[in-house]
Amino acid sequence: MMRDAIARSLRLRLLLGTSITSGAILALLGVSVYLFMWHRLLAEFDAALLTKAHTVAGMVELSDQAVGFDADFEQMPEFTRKKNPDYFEIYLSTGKVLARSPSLGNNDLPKSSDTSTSVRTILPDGHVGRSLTMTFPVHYEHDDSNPSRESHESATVVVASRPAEMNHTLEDLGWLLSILCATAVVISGISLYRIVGRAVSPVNDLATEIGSLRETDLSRRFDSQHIPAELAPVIEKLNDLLARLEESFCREKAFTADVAHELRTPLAGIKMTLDVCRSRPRESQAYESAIDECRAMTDRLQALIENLLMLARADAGQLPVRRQKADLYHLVQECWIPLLPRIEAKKLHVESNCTGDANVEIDPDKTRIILRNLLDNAVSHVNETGRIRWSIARVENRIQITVTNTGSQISPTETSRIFDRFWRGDQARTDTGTHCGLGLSLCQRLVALLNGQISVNSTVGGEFSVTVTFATDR
Amino acid sequence: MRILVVEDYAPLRKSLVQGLREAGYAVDEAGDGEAGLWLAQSGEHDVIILDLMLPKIDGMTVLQRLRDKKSTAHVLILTAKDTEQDKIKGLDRGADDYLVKPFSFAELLARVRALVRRKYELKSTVIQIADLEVDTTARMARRAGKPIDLSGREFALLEYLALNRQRIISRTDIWQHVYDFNASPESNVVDVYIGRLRGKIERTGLPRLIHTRRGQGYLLGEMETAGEAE
Repeated sequence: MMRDAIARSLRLRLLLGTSITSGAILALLGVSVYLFMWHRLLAEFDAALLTKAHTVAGMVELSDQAVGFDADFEQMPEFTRKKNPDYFEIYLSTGKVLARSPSLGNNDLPKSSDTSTSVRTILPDGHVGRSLTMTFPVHYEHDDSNPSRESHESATVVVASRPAEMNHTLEDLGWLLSILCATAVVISGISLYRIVGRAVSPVNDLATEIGSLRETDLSRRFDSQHIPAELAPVIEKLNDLLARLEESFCREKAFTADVAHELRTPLAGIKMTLDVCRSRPRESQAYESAIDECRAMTDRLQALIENLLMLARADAGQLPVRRQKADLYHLVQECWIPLLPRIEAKKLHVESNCTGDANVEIDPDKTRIILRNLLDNAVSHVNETGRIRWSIARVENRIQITVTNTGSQISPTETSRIFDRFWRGDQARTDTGTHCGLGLSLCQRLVALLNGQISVNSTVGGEFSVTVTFATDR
Repeated sequence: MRILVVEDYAPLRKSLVQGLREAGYAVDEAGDGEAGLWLAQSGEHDVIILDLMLPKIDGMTVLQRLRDKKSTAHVLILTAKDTEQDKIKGLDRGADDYLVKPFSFAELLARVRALVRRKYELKSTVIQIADLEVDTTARMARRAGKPIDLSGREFALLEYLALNRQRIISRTDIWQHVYDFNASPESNVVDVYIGRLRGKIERTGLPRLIHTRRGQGYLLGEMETAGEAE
């Protein structure tokens, strides 16, 4: 739990990280100071021990071939005191003990082989102390008459002392440094916690603001001016996301509005026809024609709903492609049949051109929908007594189907929008109820599903042509 | 009352026009914004039923241009768009009412009647002239409490005269508001209908209510007999 909280909170992580780092640095600093002081104090202590050794050594004198020790302990109370006394022991070169400090009683001070530095030792009272072993030449008793008299006698003095004061000082220093370190860590921790808290507060404000954002006000954007520079990219990306969401939401809304419009218009027609028909008694012929009209309008509604469903399924990836061998020429012929009465009524001229083998591996059902839409569009939008041309041609390993009609009302600039759902050229709008503006969107979707390409060319008053290209899997 | 229907969906337009004609209105129709605007500017329509999504010129633009030209027609917007913004936009541009598709014919008729009443500043649905009552909702008339049997066209004529009561109405006005362009423009058609209407509402013993102003037109209302010429 705690671990989780730390891992997830920027503030806690920052706090913990900085505290550990600053604590370690301070501890290192403290230890360095401590060690430095310890060395300095030890060197001083050792120097004092050396002085003591010299003092004691100075009291050893040679007189008449006998080595003597003339001590004045009144002058050296440190060797006699009860508490933390200093110790010394003097050995002659023969190994015989010449003298001991009163504090030593009958105990011995061990001699160290190293005579240059002080060493750690256990004192007779059991405490840890330091001892210095020094070998020195024994001088004759001071004699003014014969100053050049040299002796060949030497003795060894061992001085030991307990560095009690040094220990106290070091202990105090240790405490002082520890308290300082701890205080520094705590103070820096608290101030860091506050600083981070203040630095993080815009995040909280932002969170509140984001929290208050309703799904309906996608037009809102967050202000990146009054926010820490580190957060600005987040705000910008958030605003970008909002913009994209808004755009797609608007598209969705427009699509829904269009669907509603397309469904409501024929519904209004059916309702109105039925209402007017029922408003007074009529001849049976009038009823029949009203029923026929309603029937035509339901056909239109059904076609619209089927187109919408197919688009929705294609969008959701629920339209499986079932490829099989099919003759495109026959498929086109088949799709012409229901259009023949309209072709006759409009007195249209139809030309066809089919070169080469039109057999392809394709999904015939989807191809039929595409062809029916393209041919139906051509018949609907061609001018009276105009011309419709369709062709199937093999180009390398592709097969191309082109449907062209005269009397186009679509300008070249409009061709880019022609695949938009519910987009209709103005001319086509007169046919509300016949063409809802989904045909080409559906064609595009299905062609893409079959790994083909669809393109449109048009000039106002000239020709409108759609070309669909499929790879022939060879 | 003369109504203009501008709707691009042919089956709906056809039924609308038929229904309104049967209800006794003179109806003109247009299938796109351009034709609609032309008709609206060339005729005296009491109510214009206007679809918003129209080819050539869209409904909103038609409405705007009509209002720019100070057209007095009351406009009922007919649309499949039902968002609040669409409604606000339409009403702000000078539409008088708003009806979302699909709607019932009865509701459309009620709204058209309400718009007509508003145009002629009528608070009640029944117009009272002396002992003649013209019920614009039930589309029937009573004289001295007794119902008068009128054809749709006769009632339309009486209604128009009643809405303009105590005012002289020219034959052209009557022609424009009661008959649509399909009727043949023979000048005596109006006189024939006035004659028939008189026969039905001014039976023997009852005072005259429809008065002729020679060279000016007709007037429905209570009058001193002075200046009467027949």
